[in-house]
Amino acid sequence: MKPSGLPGFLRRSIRSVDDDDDDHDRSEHFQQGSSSFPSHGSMIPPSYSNSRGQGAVTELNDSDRVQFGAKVQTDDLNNDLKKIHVSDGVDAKFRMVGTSHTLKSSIKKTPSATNESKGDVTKTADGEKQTSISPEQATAQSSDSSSTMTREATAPTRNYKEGKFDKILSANVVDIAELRKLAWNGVPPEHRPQVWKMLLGYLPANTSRRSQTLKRKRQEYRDAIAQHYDIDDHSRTMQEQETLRQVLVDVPRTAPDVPLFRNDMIRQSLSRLLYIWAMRHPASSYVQGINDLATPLIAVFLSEYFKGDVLQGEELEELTREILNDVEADVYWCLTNLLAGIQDHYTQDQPGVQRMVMRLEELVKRIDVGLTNHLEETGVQFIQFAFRWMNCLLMREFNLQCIIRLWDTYLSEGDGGFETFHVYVCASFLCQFSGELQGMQFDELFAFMQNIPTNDWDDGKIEIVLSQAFVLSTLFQGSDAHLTSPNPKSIF
Amino acid sequence: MSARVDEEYDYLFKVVLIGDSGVGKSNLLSRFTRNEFNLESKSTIGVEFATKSIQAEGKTIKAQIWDTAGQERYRAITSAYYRGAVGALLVYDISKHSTFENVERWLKELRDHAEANIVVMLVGNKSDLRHLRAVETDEAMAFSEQHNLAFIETSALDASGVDTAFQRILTEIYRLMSRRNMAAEEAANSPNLSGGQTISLGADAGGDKKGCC
Repeated sequence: MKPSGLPGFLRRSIRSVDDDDDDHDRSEHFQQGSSSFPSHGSMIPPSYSNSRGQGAVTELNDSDRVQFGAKVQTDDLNNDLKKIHVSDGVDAKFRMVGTSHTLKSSIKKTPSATNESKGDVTKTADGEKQTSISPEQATAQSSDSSSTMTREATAPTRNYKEGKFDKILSANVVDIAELRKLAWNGVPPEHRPQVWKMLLGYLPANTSRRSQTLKRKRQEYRDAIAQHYDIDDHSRTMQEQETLRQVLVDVPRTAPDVPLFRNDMIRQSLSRLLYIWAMRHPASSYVQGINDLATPLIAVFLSEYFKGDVLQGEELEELTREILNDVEADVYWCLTNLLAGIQDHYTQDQPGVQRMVMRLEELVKRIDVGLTNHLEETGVQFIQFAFRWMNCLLMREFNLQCIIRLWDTYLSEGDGGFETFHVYVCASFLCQFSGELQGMQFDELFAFMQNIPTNDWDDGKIEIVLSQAFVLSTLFQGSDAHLTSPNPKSIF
Repeated sequence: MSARVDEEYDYLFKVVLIGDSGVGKSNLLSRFTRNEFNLESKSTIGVEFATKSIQAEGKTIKAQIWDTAGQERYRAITSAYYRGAVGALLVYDISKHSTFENVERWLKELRDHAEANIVVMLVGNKSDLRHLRAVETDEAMAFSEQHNLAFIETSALDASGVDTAFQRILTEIYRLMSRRNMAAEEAANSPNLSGGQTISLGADAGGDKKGCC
């Protein structure tokens, strides 16, 4: 897994707007080296990160311990769609528009930048408390306009981004709002398991409560296995048998191109957790596509225990039943929390998916008239290709590596990540191919959409899509009137 | 635009592939259109689509085939694709009896959502799994006769019967349509004499057509 952040000297060009932001953390100067202006170590100019981040802060300070804790425990069937509406200041919108182009061109440099910083990554067993740079140190160093070489010598084992994660995560009570801000731009692989579990409201922000919570949740899951899975087939209802059959048909077809998911133990875990989730959520039960959504969680949570490339199935022979049981339980609860935010995607008639497809269509109408007209002329409807994009959250469109990077940002967006922000990502993704698509007729276009060439995509390209999605979200978020037609027609 | 030579055709027929999930619909489609089989194919979400042109009775027929997701939850979206379909391949897995038992339910789906005169062919797929056979050929044949369906057994894996299945259903559709057109023409200008008229299917005829749905 590659660290995806850009070193500061490459990021400098991102800042094409006036630097009037209230950049609290001056340690960030450290990244900029001799640069005279401060900048965030992020894809998004700090003013925007801040304006969004603050919106989230007010929500999260309240919701962190109370709401998320409650959510985990209830495991309820009728979870309301909790939406965190991040308000964006008008000024942020204008500035963002101005920067989008620069943003894109700078981010394209990511792959080479990634290679450069790769040498700095040192993987640790516990993923915490490595050499981190205190703000004081950083400020001291930033005032010293020494060369990049000198700075690297002072912090040889940890790059800047990892240091920031170290710092945030080592607090007694992790500042979730800060963590979200930071994680939006990608989480270092070693921190990812912990960060995802926190952002999904599974792992408590409070260090002292963690081991207790994990112990309890894992036991609860084990009880659920005994109750639902390890029972005689005759004691299952017809419907339960059908659900089990469907799960067992789909598990071997889940990410079959990834060696990890060809492992029998992994497949068994996946079958169990999907079936138990279905039993506990009868309003939707198991729907094809939910199996896909479990795969990033499994890969990331397993990576906590192995140094090798988990996706390639390396070192899996060392996988013990105990480890896998814990991972399975963690995946179950995190999947539960994730799906709680998008449950109406999978209920009867899938209203959530329909709503998102409609929103995507409205959005593309506003931002790419040429493409919209072409799709209309050729007779291709959004529902025909975008249904899967929503149902599987683009998991069929990207390799798992890219999806994991995408989810860093989705999880940082809060509950709206997989719903609201995803639509912007889809729009941005579609528009990447606008030119090509406009040269195609129905058959060719449809074939293309079913198999979009993303084999060579990496974190860098995902980040381009994410940053464009962000621009769109600042333009359209909260401006629902822009996105609703007077007479919304049914898409079926 | 990409007007290609192989886009020339006399007729365009829309056909849907339906049946329980995991019976091999997507592989039947990929075997027929691209001669590919993938043992590790993912489940179909919503619908997928492919085309292929064949020759039948001297005419070029382009088949526009919609492959639908098998799971119940997707009925709302998949049934929308039945509209305008002139043929349906109703697939079951010969090694899983439950998929055959569900054929009746799929027939009901068609009655509820498809055109009344849609041509339906019952397809017993995975015929290569001889040692696991759970649905006898006789049983399926009797069922199809009783319900007035065409019937064939196929294996997308070893390719047996796949081309035949599509060829037969498309030819059948063509014949039915010609007969119907002929009857319509005769009815329209019954006193008229001159034979040798070309059969036209209106919107469906001609080259470089767009999708019809």
